[in-house]
Amino acid sequence: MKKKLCIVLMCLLMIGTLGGCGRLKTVEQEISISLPGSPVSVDPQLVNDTNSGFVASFNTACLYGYDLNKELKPVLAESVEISDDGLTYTFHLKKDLKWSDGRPLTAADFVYGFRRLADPDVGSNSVYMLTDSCTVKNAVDVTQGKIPVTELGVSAPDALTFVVELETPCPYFCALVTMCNFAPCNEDFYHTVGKKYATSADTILSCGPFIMDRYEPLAMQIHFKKNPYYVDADIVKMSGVNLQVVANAQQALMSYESGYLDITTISGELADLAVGDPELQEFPTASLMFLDINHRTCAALKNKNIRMALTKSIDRNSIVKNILKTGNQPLARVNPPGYYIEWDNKDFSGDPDQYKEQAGYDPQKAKELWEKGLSEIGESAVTLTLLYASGNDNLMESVKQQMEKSLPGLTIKLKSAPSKEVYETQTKGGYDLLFTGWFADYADPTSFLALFNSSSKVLGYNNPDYDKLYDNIQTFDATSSFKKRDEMMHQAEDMLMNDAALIPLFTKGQAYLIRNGVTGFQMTPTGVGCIIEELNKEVK
Amino acid sequence: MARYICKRLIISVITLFVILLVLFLLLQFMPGSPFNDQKLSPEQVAQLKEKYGLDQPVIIQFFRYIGNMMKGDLGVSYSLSPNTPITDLLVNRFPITMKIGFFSMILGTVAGLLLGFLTAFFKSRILKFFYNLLTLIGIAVPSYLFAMCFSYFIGYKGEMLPLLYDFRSPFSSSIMPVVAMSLGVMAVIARFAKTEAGDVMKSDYVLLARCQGLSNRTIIMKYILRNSLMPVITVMAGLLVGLLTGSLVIEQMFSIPGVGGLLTNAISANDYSVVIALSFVYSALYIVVMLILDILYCVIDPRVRLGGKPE
Repeated sequence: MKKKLCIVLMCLLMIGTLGGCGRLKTVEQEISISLPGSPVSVDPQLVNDTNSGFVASFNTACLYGYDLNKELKPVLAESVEISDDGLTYTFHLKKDLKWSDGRPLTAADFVYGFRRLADPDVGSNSVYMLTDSCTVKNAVDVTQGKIPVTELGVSAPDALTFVVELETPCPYFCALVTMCNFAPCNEDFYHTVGKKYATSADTILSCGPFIMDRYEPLAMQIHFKKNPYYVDADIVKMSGVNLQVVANAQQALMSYESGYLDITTISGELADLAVGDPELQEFPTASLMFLDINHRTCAALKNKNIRMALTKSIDRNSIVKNILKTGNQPLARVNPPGYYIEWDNKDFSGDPDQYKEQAGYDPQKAKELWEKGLSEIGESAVTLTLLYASGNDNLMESVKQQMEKSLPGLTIKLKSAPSKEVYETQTKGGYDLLFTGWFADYADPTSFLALFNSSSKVLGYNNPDYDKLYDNIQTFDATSSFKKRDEMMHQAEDMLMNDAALIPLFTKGQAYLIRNGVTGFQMTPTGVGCIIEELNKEVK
Repeated sequence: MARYICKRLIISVITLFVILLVLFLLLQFMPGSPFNDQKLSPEQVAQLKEKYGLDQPVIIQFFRYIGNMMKGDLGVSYSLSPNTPITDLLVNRFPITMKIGFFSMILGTVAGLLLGFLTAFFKSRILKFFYNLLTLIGIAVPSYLFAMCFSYFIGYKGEMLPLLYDFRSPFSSSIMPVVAMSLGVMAVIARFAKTEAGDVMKSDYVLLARCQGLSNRTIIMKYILRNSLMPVITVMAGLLVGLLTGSLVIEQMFSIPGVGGLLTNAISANDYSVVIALSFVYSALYIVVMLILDILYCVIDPRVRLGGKPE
């Protein structure tokens, strides 16, 4: 009797807790999407990372946006007039625009949004959008707190007209204002909620396709419902969206396969398992992952032949195929393909072999250049330190092996550090080679070309001829000739590649599993934002 | 006892003050700043530092922080969630971590005590086998491995429970993490309970009670259980603090919006104010739990006199 009682008790103890739970419930007309990490902020002016940008695309709309073909389209703007000198943009807003609580959305909200972005008291990390990505009049002084934010070159002559004055022409300005940092902000609402702005679903207004109805800072789950006041509410088909932060990739995949998630990111080994799956879709990003060369202090790297030898000693195809895998593409140039279309409708970086001579894998040629370089600097062996952020060990080990194999006398010392330490070392110039990356904020080659300007705060490349050409590109009024501007940008890229200013490695891509029947999901041309307003899910 | 508690509280406040000071000093040695962004110019970083008062000497920052803390203001996050008051971050996340930690503790303790005491009282081979198996597995296998197994077999293959924490079904989505975290607790408690109960059963006073002809039930309830609970409570305190501060891996695996990952994320993002606030809360929690534990000793065993002169 005692034995039986004990057994029954034990069994109850172990399985009793698991009982009483039915199958998962699913909500119709809702779509569940995984996010790899929590958003840092959902305040549009503070958005500065991919996860936050992804979240913002649901409840934020801007003057311009993209359709499913990645074509630029006016969203809150009806049209734009650009002055002859390319310095004044006059946006005419659509009529009867409304915020999610029904209050009118006017040009004054855009003025306030731009001013918040520039305001040093708000402290946005995306302030460079106004000072570097384009140069809005007085933005530099305003962001440094030298003059009041009211002096920023933005104005609203009437409720439907929003005017932006620039200091230099910015031919991609309409593409730039698709970024959520340029979203409107209602001043009255902002003052009503005060410091709590955008820290919960109640303290943020929506002007995008969905209204955020559940959110808390660093949320693991964010919920949206359809915004009836959205300007294009007719094309929004889903009644709700559930964003679920899933940091564990395996858990995300199991949740997708068990039907809880409809869209999930997938990478590394798990992505390999999905190769051939019709639900696997790859989206490129406008990114450049490269080895930054320290031109400032390292004597050997001041020699062009040595730099070019290093560049030509790397077999990028093998690295992508064996280490990086799904989603990524080898890159032997500055600008990644597929994000900028030239004046004649050609992809700016359509030819992957354009710089084969300067950067293509050729161990024999690399060795020749290496020996020539060594004799020029009078050395027989060179030791270089390659610094990288932890987590890239396999990739860097492979790069090291390839370089050392092709270039006799070269020793690469690998040094890994937490990313914040790598960043600090980069700004101080304490490295020989450094593995880093750059993601374009806007679809224009100057996103990447700007890095190599000597005034860039990121890299230490200094070439007066390049600076001059870059300044010409920046001040050139593209409306007079887009062809000329494109040619100048090609010249700039030629100059960088001929001078082996960097060692390009690959461009990143993002692989997604998208359930059969789910449509309307697309990434923006730069691949950092997503287009979601036409999301749809066929209910079987 | 009141005098003892007062004394402990004063020592606790001094301890917390010292912890904060040491933390403030140690954080200065961390590489980087909360504003590790390639796209920010040095001027912009300087401006952000000024905005948050990070450009001032450490000692001024420290006393300003203490002053604000007295008013219940733990500051704002610099980089994890810019401008968000840390109290908001904690208010949203602590209840979930505490709920899951608390239930794991309850489940683990009840199961552990049952398993331990039953094995000690009934000399059954089957029970002994279960006890050995469960305690061995519970102690040797980390909770995240249980979590992985549960996820795969119960969540994915069996489709019985959600794989991720969902605010729309908080009960069912908490079961797997709670059970995964409780197994370790159960094993530790069971071992202590069995050993202690075994020792107490062999003691003279139990023998005397038996000689007096007291019923088995009275002996167990009045003598054995009460006397075996003391060491178990000591172990529980440590386990409880561990559970209440959250498990990084379990929270990440089930996407639980708790505090488990917050401290690690804050350290890697150099979000000083979050690191300090969390460390403060954790330390305070530990001190409070230890104090409650001491008081519990008194309640369970009247022979214990805290801080007072022996009678």
